[in-house]
Amino acid sequence: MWAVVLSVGGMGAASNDAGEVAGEVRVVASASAEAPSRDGTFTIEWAGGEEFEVELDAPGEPAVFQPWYRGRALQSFVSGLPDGVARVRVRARRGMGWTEWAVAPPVVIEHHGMAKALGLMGLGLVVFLTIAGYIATRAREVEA
Amino acid sequence: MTETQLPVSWGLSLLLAFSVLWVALGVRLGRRSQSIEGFTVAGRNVGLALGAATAAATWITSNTVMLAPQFALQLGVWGMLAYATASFGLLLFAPLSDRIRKLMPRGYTSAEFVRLRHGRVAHLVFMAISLFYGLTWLVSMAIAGGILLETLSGIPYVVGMTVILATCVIYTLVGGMFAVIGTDFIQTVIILVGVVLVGVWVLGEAPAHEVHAALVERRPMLLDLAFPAALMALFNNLLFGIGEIFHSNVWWSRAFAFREGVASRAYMFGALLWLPIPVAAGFLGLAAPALGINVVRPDTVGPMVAAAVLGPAGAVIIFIVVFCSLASSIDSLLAATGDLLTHEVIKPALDRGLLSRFAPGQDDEGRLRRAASLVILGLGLATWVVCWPWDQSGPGPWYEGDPVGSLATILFFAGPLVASAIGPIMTGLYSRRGSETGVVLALSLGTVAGLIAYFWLGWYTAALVGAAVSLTITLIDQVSTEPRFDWAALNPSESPS
Repeated sequence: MWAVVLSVGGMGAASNDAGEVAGEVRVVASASAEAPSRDGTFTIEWAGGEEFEVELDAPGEPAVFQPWYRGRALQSFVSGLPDGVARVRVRARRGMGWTEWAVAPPVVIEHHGMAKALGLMGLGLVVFLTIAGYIATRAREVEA
Repeated sequence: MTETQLPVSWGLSLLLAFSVLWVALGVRLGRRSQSIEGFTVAGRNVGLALGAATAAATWITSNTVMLAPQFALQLGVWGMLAYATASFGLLLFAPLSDRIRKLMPRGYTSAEFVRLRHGRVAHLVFMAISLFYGLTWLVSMAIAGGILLETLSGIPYVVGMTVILATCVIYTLVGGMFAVIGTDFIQTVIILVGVVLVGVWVLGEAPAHEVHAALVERRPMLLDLAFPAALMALFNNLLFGIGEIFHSNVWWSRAFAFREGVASRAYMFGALLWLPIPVAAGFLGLAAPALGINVVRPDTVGPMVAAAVLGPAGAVIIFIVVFCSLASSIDSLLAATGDLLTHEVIKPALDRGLLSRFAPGQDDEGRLRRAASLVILGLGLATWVVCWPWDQSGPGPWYEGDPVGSLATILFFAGPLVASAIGPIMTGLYSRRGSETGVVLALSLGTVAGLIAYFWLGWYTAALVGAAVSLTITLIDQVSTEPRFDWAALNPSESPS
């Protein structure tokens, strides 16, 4: 039996019997409900087959899995997703057979709040203008 | 990993050819580097063309080739612009460099300025920051170089990393600052032509409307102007760039090396030359989804896209661009960090007679010159040891078992350290006010606050918070102290030569 092992954010693993071909597929994602992604990015890693199909159900769309990757690579970097819950499923091919889809625990994306973002951006602007203003003023004074 | 675009034999041939070229140029250009003055500051006579080229080339690091596309892929259009704001560091350093040259006509290092201007305790803190940053940058580039060459051509990581490092150590050792600046000029031309060529080529393969459509469908936040992390990153990267340039001896040593009146114009031209590079490189990151490329590591997306889309010819160009950008930065770091250790650690020890048995047959200048060479050799060896994949699971200790650690998260850890130096450096150059306690507090509390932000908010906020805290402390110190500093103290009569 396939034992598809899914774990998220290093928070442990859950197993799911999902196929008919002997072997094990491991999938690891770098964000979860406990440790949400704050910038819309996460990395998925998997292993255990010859070829893989990865599908992603991104937040903000109808709950439909869309093809994300098919091939022999063992990792994919996801970015640019909005707030919400993303779901990832992976199946692997070994010999002539494919496993059934194994759905990973949900990946939670929770961007920083706009107040915090604009506050830090504003702070950055003030710091930059202070530096630029100081140098421009003092350089002119020194030249004069 | 994806399959490589170049056969190993091609990669090794290119690696060998360019290694021989740089070493030969280094030997030829470095004939005038026999004295310590020639070796460390190129005789203080570098003109405008070489000056602008070395400023641009040193700022076009492997980090530009790798991080600009990563910023675009991770933080979208804002991220691409955020990376380009690093040119403000060069622009703002332009007036400072003239001031440095004027105040310290016989100066050698940024740490020397901090020692003379702010005192010995501030000097110790600053040296710790400078060395940590310099070594982080050096090691990160050697690791990045090894990974990139392996990704592009299948050259084993250890071979690529070792050859790049050895090449840079040899020509820097032989030619000193003359070789570093001279090779920078040629490397700048190659990088500019290569990156623009690849950018235009990829734009032809992935037209802007297709890139836009793919991003809207699969990665919508990358086009969102209200992308919180990207908004935070905008000024963070700008301030990181300013901090890197203001504090680092890489840039100070050039200010000392430029002919009088050249420095500010050289840095301004350098900034303008550099500006289009991250935009062109960043486009590669945005194009990845449209081209259906699976990105394995975000920091290798640029070279992966170029190599995948353009095939072997594109891979050859990227290979050469990467090698040039690595060499132009590694040689500068070796030279500048070597100067820092030679002038701030070895020279005081020699002056106090602590190294009386070192090179006994030579005069002071000869001993210092020999020490400078040994320091560069030692730095190269130390970097090589750190970059060696001891655990055999991946390149370098930073990559051990960490599937999401990237060049950005590694490099930006140094963000608060360097950003906290902005205030003390700029006020130190223009104001006679300020206390040593204020400078030490600004450097240390800025660093601590930035590191807290790194872990609490994200890597894209650390430099911003560090700079804000440090600048606030610096300005309070400025208004609460008397203008007592004597500028003449920055130009002591004795000089090593």
